[in-house]
Amino acid sequence: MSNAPEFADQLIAAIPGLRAFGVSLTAKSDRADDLVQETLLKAWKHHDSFEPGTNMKAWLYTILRNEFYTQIRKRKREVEDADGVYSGRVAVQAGQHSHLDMADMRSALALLPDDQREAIILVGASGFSYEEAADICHVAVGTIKSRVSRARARLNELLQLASDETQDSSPENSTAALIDR
Amino acid sequence: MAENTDSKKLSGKPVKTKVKKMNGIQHQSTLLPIHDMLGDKLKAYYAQVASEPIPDRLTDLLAELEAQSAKKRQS
Repeated sequence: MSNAPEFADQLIAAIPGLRAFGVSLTAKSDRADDLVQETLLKAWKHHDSFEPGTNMKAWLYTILRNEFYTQIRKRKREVEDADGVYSGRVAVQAGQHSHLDMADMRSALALLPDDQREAIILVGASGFSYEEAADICHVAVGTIKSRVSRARARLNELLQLASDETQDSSPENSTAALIDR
Repeated sequence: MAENTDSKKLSGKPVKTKVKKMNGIQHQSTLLPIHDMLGDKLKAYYAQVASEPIPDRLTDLLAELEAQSAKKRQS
């Protein structure tokens, strides 16, 4: 590898975002770090398959995502009801008041179906466009859009954002209120 | 000397997102499709994790990989 130091620097720069993506997917820091570690190893090994000038961030997120699903498949074979155990553990983590919001988000994300969770994170937090997210997840742009839309509805419900934000959350009434003004 | 290339160089890096100002409110028209309270919370959550210090084992790993490839280059 001719430009190893430069590549290493690019990987280091990508770590914070990759960890955030990993934590968002798994709800656990240690599992996220495992994912990032695998991602770095794979990226290093397959450095040659990365085309310079293309989107390196998207390339790395794709590797991490693949690794995540590989691990999930392994775990599902090991424990059939992993999902139940997983959600239960996540809910217990919401302890400290100062971290309540963050813990709420973490457990709410954990309750989303995998495909909706990754879609809303990539588009809503990681800064990818719908098109980039579609590439990373290997689906059509329309599919990503509908997953994001379902994820938003479910997250709002789980976090009760709609009811806290406005006194009357029904869309008809809020539209009427706006017109009245 | 080609003037065009020079002025391109001087203009610095290209601006990715067009930010329109309307009534003093910034509207990011292209970058992030989610602008509501949920979007803010998601971004805050994400940013909080991203701001955590990078675990040593990850920086150590990269240092090791880099050292290995430096050795290979020398031999």
